[in-house]
Amino acid sequence: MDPKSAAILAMGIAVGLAAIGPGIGMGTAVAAAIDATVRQPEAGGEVRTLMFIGLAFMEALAIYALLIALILLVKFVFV
Amino acid sequence: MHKIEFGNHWTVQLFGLSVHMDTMLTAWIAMIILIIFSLAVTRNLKRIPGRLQVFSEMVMEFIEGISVGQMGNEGYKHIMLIGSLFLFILVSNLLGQVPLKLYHLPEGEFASPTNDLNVTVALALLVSVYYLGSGILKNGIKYFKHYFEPFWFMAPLNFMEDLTRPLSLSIRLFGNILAGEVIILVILGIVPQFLFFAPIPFMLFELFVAFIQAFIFAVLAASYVAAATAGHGDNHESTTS
Repeated sequence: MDPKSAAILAMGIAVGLAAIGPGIGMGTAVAAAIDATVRQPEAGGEVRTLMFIGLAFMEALAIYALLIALILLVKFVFV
Repeated sequence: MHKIEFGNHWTVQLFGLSVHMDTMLTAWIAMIILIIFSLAVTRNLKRIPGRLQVFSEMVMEFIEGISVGQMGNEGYKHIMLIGSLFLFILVSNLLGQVPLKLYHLPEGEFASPTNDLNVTVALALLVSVYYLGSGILKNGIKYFKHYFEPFWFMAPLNFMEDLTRPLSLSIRLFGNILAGEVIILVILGIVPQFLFFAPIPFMLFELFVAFIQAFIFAVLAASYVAAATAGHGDNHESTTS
């Protein structure tokens, strides 16, 4: 396999695999946030802020994979 | 089919430095918008506010909520940094959805300034230096004690946290904004020519992302400053670290 097609394959696998973990985590986090807001609506604003902070950390994991994919794209495919 | 390209910048040699001129220009546009906005809303303030003044007070209260919500009363001191970061990133992200691309550059194109890794790394390093500096100013040499807590062998991990914070701050903002622009390019690439309005829902989503990313950046900066200035004696409750 030449480096270019290996890089294209690696990009797809990287982004696909990296989306699994954050997807599960975000689902759990949002479910817990909705649960908390329904139980205690007056704490809704604070729960929303905390949820967005947590989501940002999880999303960062998927973004790292995207970055790796972009690096591979620039290094191997665009040359 | 459109050619999908990114990472190309209009590089100009300026005083021996290579400068990304498109990023510079859009960053200046964002700054000019903010300066004009703040001059316009602080001109003839009234006891009974007009529509513009109510809007600016809402913006100010939102920023105050971010800063004071993370740091308590300490937050009033750091409101300048948090507010500037929030407003600059918000305006920069929103600039990406303005069709500046219609104006053709020699190389690259006008997009959000936060589309360039240099800008986001600069902002993240600014936050890094700021929270280290404010922690040292607040707690003196005792600030460095927190590296050895709760156990001394946690020191490498605690030190690594200082390195990963600017990394994740900058990569998160850059990745989100760049991914948004690439998605719009891809959508334009896969639909037929007469469906040129197909990316509009994604652009609306990008408006939401722009706001969320600016908010996240400001909240994380505030919580880092809060963790640094919390001190060891008083029972300050910081919600996130």
